[in-house]
Amino acid sequence: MESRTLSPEEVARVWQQCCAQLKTELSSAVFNTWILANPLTHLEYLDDTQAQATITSPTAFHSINVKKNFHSKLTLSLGELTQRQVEISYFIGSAPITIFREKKVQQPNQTFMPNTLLTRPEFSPSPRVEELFSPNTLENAAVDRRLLRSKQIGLRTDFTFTTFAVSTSNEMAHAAATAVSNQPGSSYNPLFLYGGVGVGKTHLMHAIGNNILQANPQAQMIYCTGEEFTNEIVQAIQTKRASHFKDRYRSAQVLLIDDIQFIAGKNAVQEEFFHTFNAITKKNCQVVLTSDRPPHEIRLLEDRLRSRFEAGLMIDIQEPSFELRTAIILLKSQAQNIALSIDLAKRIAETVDSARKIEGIITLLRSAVELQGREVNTELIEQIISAQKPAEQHLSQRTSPSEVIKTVATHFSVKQIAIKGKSRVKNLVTARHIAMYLLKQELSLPLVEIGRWFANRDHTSVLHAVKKIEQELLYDQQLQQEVSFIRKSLQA
Amino acid sequence: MRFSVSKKDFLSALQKLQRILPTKPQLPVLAAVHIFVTENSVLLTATDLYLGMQVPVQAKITTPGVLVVPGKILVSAIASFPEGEIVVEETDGTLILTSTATKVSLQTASVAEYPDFPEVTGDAMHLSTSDLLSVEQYILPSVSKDITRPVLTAVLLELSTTAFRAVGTDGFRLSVFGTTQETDARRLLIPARTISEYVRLAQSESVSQISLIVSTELQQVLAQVGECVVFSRLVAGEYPPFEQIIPSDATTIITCDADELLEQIRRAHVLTSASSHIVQFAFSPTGVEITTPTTTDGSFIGTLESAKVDGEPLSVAFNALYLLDMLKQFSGQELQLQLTETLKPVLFRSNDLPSFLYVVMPFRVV
Repeated sequence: MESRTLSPEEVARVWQQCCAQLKTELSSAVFNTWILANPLTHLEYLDDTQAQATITSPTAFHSINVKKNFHSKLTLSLGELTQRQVEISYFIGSAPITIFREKKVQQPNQTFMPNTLLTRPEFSPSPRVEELFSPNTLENAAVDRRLLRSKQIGLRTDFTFTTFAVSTSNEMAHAAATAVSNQPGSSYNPLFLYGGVGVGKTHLMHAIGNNILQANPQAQMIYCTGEEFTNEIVQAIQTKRASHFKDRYRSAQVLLIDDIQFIAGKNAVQEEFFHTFNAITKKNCQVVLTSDRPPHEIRLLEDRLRSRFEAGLMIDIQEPSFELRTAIILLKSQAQNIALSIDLAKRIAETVDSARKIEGIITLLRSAVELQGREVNTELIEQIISAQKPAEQHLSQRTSPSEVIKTVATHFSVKQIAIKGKSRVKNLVTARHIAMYLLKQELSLPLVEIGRWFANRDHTSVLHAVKKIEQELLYDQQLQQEVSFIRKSLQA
Repeated sequence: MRFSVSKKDFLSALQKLQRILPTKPQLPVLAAVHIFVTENSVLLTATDLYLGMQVPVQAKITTPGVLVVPGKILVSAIASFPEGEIVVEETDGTLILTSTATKVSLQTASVAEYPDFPEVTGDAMHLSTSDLLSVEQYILPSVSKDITRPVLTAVLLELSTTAFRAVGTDGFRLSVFGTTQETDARRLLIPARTISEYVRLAQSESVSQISLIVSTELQQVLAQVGECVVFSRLVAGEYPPFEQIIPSDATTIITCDADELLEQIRRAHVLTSASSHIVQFAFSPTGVEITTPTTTDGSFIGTLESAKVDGEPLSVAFNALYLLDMLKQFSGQELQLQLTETLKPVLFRSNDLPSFLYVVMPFRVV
């Protein structure tokens, strides 16, 4: 027969029988102290003739005295009950809870009770105090700790992956950043993010930092901008604490440098950065850099640095598309607790091209709601949008109608004569409609006058063209891009 | 068995044992004192199986022997004896105490029934009496008296060769005293009662440090305090992760005079017996207002002259008992309260006492 460990219930049953037997033989004081307080907690049948038992005592006093005085009695009694030769070992500790639940009925004087009785009787039920060590408190404390750490490092706590809107223009960057933050140092090192202003480079970088801190609040992390890095070196040299600076940077497990292009052209800084970079990557620690252009376009960057940046993963973040802008607007308004409908968000996205301007508009919106107590509706949105672009209108008023037509013609690579003419070839029609739309929108020319520019067309034809473009702009992304491009070149 | 001893020595040894003697012993024999006389020493022993103490007595020994005699009556008898020498003698199961013009006979109990003491061996660690006093002063008030959670009835001691830290909590407040520990520190869960005994003995023996010997296998700690030996069990179990709940940041910081705060809470406490000892605090840049909920008895409103509030306005409610216990320890100092939210733990500390942190969980007032 193979050895078999008895289940806690079986052990408890054997022990109950054993207790019943011993109780008759011993005085109750002796029984309570030496038998009941030192229960059988483990019983294993080695084979048909042998068994192994464990008696657990609350203290060493109990244990040694039970062993000295009751060993033979227990061996005999357990032997009879199990029909085997019992070997008893003595153990000190608290017995598992299951045993006590079985025993509770019999031993009211038992000092242990199941852990459920935690409320303190002397308090009345209405005011409550939560336990210091309740899961809730522990979790809160952990979150606080992490936020504090983020703040100390200089990360914005609201820049996380959850608040980052992802679309085709930045999904690659988002995926790489997520991978890096989940396994810092091992996946892509260094990670080099570049793109124009307001595309979310800094947001991604902060999100990487915050995510690493979430997994490991103790991580040694340094976040700074290229300019701060430069300033710190200058200061370190000034105060003769260069070694201190080196220790700090080279011991980092994660180094995040924003706008690295600022160190270009500063030789001492580049050299220091080069050594820091080598020291950190050698330890398999993560480096994340952002820049407004790819390494090979950063002028005056040392070749050895450029080649190192290029050895890692370089990702270009594109300008946000219309959908992404809408998503960003929705996310940001949600974060500011402003209820914004998707239609209004689209309206904002149409007029705003960079993510940073979105932030400005959302802030304006919030101040209007909070300070002036206004409702979020189309009127308010239009007002904010129009307030956002007085500079644009000013510029366009100086533009002449012929300039507009010329720009549109150049954009579509058609002749001005053709646009103004009668031909109804498809690409000409589109160009003509856009030109009409722009003349109406940007220069606010009367419809009749616009008609005159295009081979004396009727004002209703112009009205049709403007309305058609307005309609199509709502969903045609290609058209949006073209119109905004033409607008930009007009302003230039 | 026969020896003679001065009344003063015998009584002082017995008084040390007196607190160990259980009033309601599980076994009758545990209410007794064990007297063990060898050729050159007399050792008195008492135990309730959780805590045990051995105290030697200076005596002139005539014949060695062992006996067990009921403790309370022995102590009372010796205390009533006139000053001078007492002759202690055993004949046929009777203990005879003889002094000038006095003779007392006491029935002895069975020596065989008296429990053996465990043998604790291991490396000795040292704990200074001043540290022990700090533990008594700052940690013991926070330790839980609720036996349903054995771990919280113990003091967590972290000992290393260079540093020491003690922690006590009842789940609603937390005291931490000492310096942050290195990782190699030994962590011991010593019952609060044992710590009180150490303090009392260390003071009466006037020693500057005690040494602790720990047996992990036996879950026992043996303390050598002067000539006396204290046996105690260690509490088994996982101590809660206390470091995690010490607030790391504060949005509101109140600085005030600890004595003034204590006085105000004392006054407020008078009116809180019907409302679970709740005292409410409203902190705002203009000052601190202390109130009690209005009950049939009445209510209290007070302010703090010395308080300076930095940060967001906030109101919290505390159990006055938790504050009364501990504010005494900050007496004469400038106290700092660090808060974040109404229901998050609050940190009390003083710059004059940097090694002590006191964390209290506020009440949710419905």
